[in-house]
Amino acid sequence: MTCAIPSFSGFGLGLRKQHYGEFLERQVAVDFVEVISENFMVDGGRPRDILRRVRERYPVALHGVSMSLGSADGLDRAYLERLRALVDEVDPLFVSDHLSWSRIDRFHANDLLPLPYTEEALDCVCANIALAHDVLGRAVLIENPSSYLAFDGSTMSEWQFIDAICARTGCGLLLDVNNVFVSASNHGFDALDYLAGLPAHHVRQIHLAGHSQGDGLLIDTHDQSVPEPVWQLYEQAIRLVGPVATMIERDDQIPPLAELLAELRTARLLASTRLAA
Amino acid sequence: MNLAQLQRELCEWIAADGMADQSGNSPRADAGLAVYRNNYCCQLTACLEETFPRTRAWLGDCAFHEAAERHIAVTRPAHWSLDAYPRQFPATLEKVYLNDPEIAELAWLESDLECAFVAADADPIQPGRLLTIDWDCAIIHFSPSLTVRRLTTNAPAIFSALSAGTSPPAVEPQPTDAAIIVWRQDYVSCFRLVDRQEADALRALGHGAAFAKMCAVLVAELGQDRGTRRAGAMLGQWISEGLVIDVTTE
Repeated sequence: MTCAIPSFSGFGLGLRKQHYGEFLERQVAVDFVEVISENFMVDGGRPRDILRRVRERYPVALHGVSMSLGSADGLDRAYLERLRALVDEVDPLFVSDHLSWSRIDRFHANDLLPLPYTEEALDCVCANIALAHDVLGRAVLIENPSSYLAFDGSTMSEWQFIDAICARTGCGLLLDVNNVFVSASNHGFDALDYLAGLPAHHVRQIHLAGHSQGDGLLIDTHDQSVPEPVWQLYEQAIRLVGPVATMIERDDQIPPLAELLAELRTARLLASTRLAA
Repeated sequence: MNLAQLQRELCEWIAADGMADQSGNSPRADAGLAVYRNNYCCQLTACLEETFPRTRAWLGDCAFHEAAERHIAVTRPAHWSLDAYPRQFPATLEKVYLNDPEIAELAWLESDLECAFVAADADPIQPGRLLTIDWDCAIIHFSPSLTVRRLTTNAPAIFSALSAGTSPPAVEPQPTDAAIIVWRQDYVSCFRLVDRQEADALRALGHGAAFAKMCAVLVAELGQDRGTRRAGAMLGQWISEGLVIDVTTE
């Protein structure tokens, strides 16, 4: 199935509390902002007001962390309906969430937990994505996860799993280049093989972020600037997928906005250089 | 093992401090599991710290984290939003600090203020609407952000002192049947102490009782003049504070 999600080739930042004022008081040099959907899936109050005012000034992408696309017992319909209401209000560029799971039964781990890459998990994820498409009235982007655990029972690689999901559901891809780097290091595969194995024509957005060195594993912490190896991998990714929306993701140790905008200028420069080559 | 079984087992491992059977795991797998377990605990602890900064300041870091650890051990997150998780923490504090009720009351206040902050929007009633209301059969509708909670200590004074960075007062009991209300005005959560009569009135009206019924209760308790004046004063204050969003008739 082809991906019907329109392309958008701008450069953006994740909108974080520390920068609300600057985004609302002046026109920041971004082509779009990405917000964490769940932060605004509240009944009312200041968060919804801020999102309305931000949306008046910038295109917005909605990025979720709680859809739990890999849950074996299906998706939470109340969650989807609340997200649909936000989608209807915001009219976002993209609606995305992760190729992971966070809930089973009534337990919500509130984390992006890894899946075994099996036919059973593939059927489960594809059914869940189909339901999400149905309730949201639009196709979603799925983001490749960073993971710290692999399963002996997996029968395919992560990129084969993603390729199969895209082919079956027509969803788009949010390619997190840092996640590829982190998982390649943690699981011992070649990040370039990963990129080459993805369905490039499904990629609509790219995330760039930093990571930390944990106890024998790289951890996807989003608490520092994009490191050089991730920039190098981004150049390779851009060569494969062409001009798509690119953004810097920072969730901890949030620096001044100017620092993130400088990183974004680096992304613009690398992309334009690579695409012109 | 099918996918659902695998997910249940992994959740059990994450939430139960690695008590599930780990035999046969490689060191690398154990390191990966430890990352998820650590994420789970850190995330829930951070969520409690963020919601209850004044409770933490009052209790001290060590006692707060002991209570948080106890709460996390027995209370598993059951909602897709982490914002829901802190709402049960004051109940845990009630059990842990049976003889120090100001601790849980401080935590309830912080939790209620957080809930009011993101409660549904509702505009206060327009003053012009009040002129046409038949108060004999009026039903008052309050802001969806309003909560009324019983209060036994001066936790709100402790809250205010901690918020202002001044030295908090010693714990003191409140008059019997005192209460506190929390709501949101525009985008700012606020609170006010109320006496038993006002708390009862707010609760009754919140459950759909008619304004006339509330007046009758006050008149029976205070006499005609004082009861009527009290009802009028409370209504005036609720309107001026943006608590009343609509008045319909029976």
